Amino acid sequence: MRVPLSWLSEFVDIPSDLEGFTAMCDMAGLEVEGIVQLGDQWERHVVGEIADAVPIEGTHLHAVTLDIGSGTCASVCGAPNVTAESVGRRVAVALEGAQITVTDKKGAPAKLLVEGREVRGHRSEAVLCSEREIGLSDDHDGVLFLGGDLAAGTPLADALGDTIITFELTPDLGRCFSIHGCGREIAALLRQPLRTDSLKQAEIGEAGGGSVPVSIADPQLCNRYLGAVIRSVTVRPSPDWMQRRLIASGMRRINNVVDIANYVRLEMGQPLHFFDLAKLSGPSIEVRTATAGEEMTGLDGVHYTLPETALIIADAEGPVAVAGVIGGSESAVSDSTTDVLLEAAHFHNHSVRRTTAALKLRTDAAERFIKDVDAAWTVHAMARAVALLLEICPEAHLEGYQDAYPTQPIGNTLPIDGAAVKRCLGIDVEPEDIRDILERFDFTVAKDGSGGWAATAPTYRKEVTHTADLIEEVARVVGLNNIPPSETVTAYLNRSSYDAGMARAQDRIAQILTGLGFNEAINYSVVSEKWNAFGTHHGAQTGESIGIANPIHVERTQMRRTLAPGLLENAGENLRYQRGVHLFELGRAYATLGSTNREDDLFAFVATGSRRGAFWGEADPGAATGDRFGLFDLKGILESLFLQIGVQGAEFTAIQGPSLTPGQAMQLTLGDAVIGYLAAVDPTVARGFGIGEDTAYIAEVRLQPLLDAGGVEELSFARLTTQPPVYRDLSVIVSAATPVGEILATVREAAGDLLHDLQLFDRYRGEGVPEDCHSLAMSLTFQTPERTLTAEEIDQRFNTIVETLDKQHAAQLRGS
Amino acid sequence: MQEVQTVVEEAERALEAAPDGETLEAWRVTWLGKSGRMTLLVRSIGELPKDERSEAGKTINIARGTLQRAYEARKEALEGAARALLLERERIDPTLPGAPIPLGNRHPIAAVMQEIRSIFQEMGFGEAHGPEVETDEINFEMLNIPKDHPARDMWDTFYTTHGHVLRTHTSPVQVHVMRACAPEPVKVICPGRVFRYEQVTARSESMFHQVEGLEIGPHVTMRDLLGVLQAFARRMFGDVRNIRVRNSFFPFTEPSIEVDVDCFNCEAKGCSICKHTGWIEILGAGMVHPVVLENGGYDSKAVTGLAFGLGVERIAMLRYRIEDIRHFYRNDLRFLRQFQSA
Repeated sequence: MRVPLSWLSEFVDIPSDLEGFTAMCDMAGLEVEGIVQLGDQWERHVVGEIADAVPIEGTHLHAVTLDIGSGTCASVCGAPNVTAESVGRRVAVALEGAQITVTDKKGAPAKLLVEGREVRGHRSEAVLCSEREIGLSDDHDGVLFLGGDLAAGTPLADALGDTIITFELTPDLGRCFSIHGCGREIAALLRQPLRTDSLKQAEIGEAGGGSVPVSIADPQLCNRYLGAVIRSVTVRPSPDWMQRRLIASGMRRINNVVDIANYVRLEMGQPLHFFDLAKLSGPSIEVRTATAGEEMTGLDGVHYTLPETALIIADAEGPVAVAGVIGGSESAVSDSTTDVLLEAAHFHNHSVRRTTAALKLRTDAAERFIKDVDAAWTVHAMARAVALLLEICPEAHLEGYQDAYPTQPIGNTLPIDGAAVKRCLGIDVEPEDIRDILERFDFTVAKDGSGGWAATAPTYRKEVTHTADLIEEVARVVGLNNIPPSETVTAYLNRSSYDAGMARAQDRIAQILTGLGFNEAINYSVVSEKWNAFGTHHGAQTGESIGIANPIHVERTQMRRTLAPGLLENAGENLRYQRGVHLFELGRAYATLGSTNREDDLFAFVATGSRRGAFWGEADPGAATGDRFGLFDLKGILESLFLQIGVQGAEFTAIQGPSLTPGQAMQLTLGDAVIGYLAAVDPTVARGFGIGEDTAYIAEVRLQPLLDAGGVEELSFARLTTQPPVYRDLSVIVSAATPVGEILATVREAAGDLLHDLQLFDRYRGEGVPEDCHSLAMSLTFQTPERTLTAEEIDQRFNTIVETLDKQHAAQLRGS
Repeated sequence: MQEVQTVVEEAERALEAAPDGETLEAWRVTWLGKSGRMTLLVRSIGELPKDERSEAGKTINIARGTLQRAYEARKEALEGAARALLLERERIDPTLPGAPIPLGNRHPIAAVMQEIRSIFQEMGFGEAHGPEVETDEINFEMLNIPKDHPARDMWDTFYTTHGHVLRTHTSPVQVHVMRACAPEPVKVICPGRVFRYEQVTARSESMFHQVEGLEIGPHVTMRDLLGVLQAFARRMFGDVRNIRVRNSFFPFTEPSIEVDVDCFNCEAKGCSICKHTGWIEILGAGMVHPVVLENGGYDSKAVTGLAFGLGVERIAMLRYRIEDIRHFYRNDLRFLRQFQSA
């Protein structure tokens, strides 16, 4: 909301300390977005009178002589609206040394210094300015003509200068979307009287006159419709004083009739519309919803097919305006108009908002209606417009008006007392102060039966529905910054709904993975459809992908079902600058089951390439570990990580699936459920993400099954034993086709409860071992806290193991 | 026994000349060995007159002891020299670079989120989470934002093809929490991911993170809200920080406020971060609207509530002076690794 200070000052005295004033507005919820001193930048700008304008042969230019008070100066002007007929008109002149605003080649605003020069043999030492050139608006269609009452030579800052305050108003401040509304709010906050004498209204008498009948078909959508007939109007430019205010407010000037509608909307917050009475059929007005297939061409020249939900203004033949949004071009006021129908109405804001959404059209009037207007105020705005029209066109007269007014608005009455204020704000406010504050905001306050107040809101405050709304007014005036913050905190013991598991597990996983050199990534939830074709190997496969109905980008159309593609893209991008990429992500995958959705918390990591980059000691026997993670490093990471979050019994089995390298992929199961996977990414898929040389490994695990199985809470200490362990090494040759996991399981089972630990320390294929077989070497640790083990019983166990291996897997003991 | 003295002198000269362990061993065999010169001298005692034998034996034994000690001293010196040589050869250069041990770190958003969470946890807030794909009812209507209400313009919304919305704020988690806990008091934060239908530019993102706060109980007031937020601002931005409160509007709180912290960059003198106002907006808050309390299952006459919501990206950008929000989700390691100490 752009407010010229000179206009606002008609309603209320604004303190000279502008900074203090805007700070007060900010604190009270009238957020000041900016203050512009219009005119400060016009150091070498004056009002000039066009003394002569001679066309320059063979061009569209005119050689203009300007009277600038102190003398004359010359300018070559190419504006289409400067012709020989412009002689005598006042314009804004930028003299030599002045700065004007132009647009550069890219259309961005740029500053240009006015310098004297020759154009086509004519001297040019000044610029006749458009609105854009002096920073008033973006309008650059022609020069800005000023009022004839301005003397040539007047500094432009004196003629047009003003302070423009722009308020950023929240949706609840509909009452402030006008100069009068802002003045009223500011007067209440400053505790000053509101002056309304500038709002001169015409004596309009009783409703009922006028020759245009008005009816409202749907009172739910239109609560009031006033139609005033004014005859013998002369359409011409608006008077200078009105033009200046419209200029300062950033409005285009059209003609006196249309300008009045805009002026009153700015001033009083009520959108108005003028119809050319001669072009209305009937003439009669009906306010109704559109019927199927109805169409109308708007003032903007666009042809609209009207949705059936749209409220329209119809004459005897059909739509002449979309209620509260836009007028029709056919019934628009033109230069030849003599009789007009003035519409002042109250359309329901939800209805107007729905219609603007359907038509994809937001006009100033619609914006205003959406913020809501006051049905009781409508008649005053109409009387104001009539007064202005009769003032500007003394030859015109008001024939009369119709007032369709199904229900009069009444403000809500709500209770409030000191206890209610204390309960919410925590501070004591005297009952008399509460009453005083509310009365400043036009509430009618009376004693209620129980010793408190009953406050009735003014009709322009429909959003006041609860006592809390009254308390807010008290808080604004008392000053939110005068409420002392509590020094202590409340805690509700044993009642908290702390959702510990997921957040804690995520933090733990992040801790572990960062410790292993993985960096955390965060990727978008909304992804390209082709990414979801990567496959959901993590086990949450139920349902369908969730599509976005209004995507913001063609590549972002679905909710992700897997974190893998995001991480792989990150890896590909990073490999342009890195020798290796190790990233993890904690986030959700989404699917829909129709009416309900499924969101799975996942963690995923990608590992590819060098971990530490160049290192001088790489070939040195002292260098401890390899520089690249292999598939079994990553499996080891998962196993350790599961231990740390208390999960046991996760199993890895081979899988095949899209995007995974055949034979290099494993699936994780816990109980019966698939909970994740770990794999080398299919090289073709990896290349698609820009990963070339090194194998990319990806793992993705669902968190909820881990939490469900996690045993962190059940952790209990195991006594340390002093009984000595007994070590035995076992080396067997078995078929390479048998999964090693099965061999190890057999050993564990056969060894029984005395086996404390089992480590596979070598796997060998080659000389001395038959084709299709491999030799597995493992070290077994036997120990029991109860007693010292004897060599005989260990030998016995060992033999059992060997026999069982032989029986079940045809294993041969090696080196015996 | 002049001869003994001569032998000792000769042996000592030879010992001094022994350059290494091998020569030394040869010397030992020559002089102190079983058939060495000293042994020969001992044997030669028998050839002496009886009365001289005892004296000669003593002299020879002393000489032998002298040589033995000299040998041991020499041996130790030689071994020490060899050890020193070996150590010298294996001496490390402490200025050689250590092997790079790459540690990862959390994403700056996660790091800031964690810090925010721990601040509120210490103030007694629990933690709750909710779905990111929400119904219109929970995301809007239950929060006192009816269909077609002008306040809907405050949130540009993504819709799914199944008629749901991507939550535009973490406030809907309030509704889930209230429904689960009413009529018991509750005090939680709800951190999470939210979405807005917005073009991605340096200053706006289509996805970001919020931390919602909610406390409902029989005696919760605006003073408590201000106390919690002031404590948060000081813990987050420094002990000397102050907050400033402006009246604002959110459909789900009444009264509604916006909270500024005095600029930690310029000590409120005015700089580009605070846009020369000395104040930085950090969050929105208010007292829970009675309609929202009732929608959540509470009796709005029995309890009051405070609520707040803050943008994690905004705080991270202020904290680390990140000028372009688009850095966050590109996951460029050159960016991510800058937050190792975060």
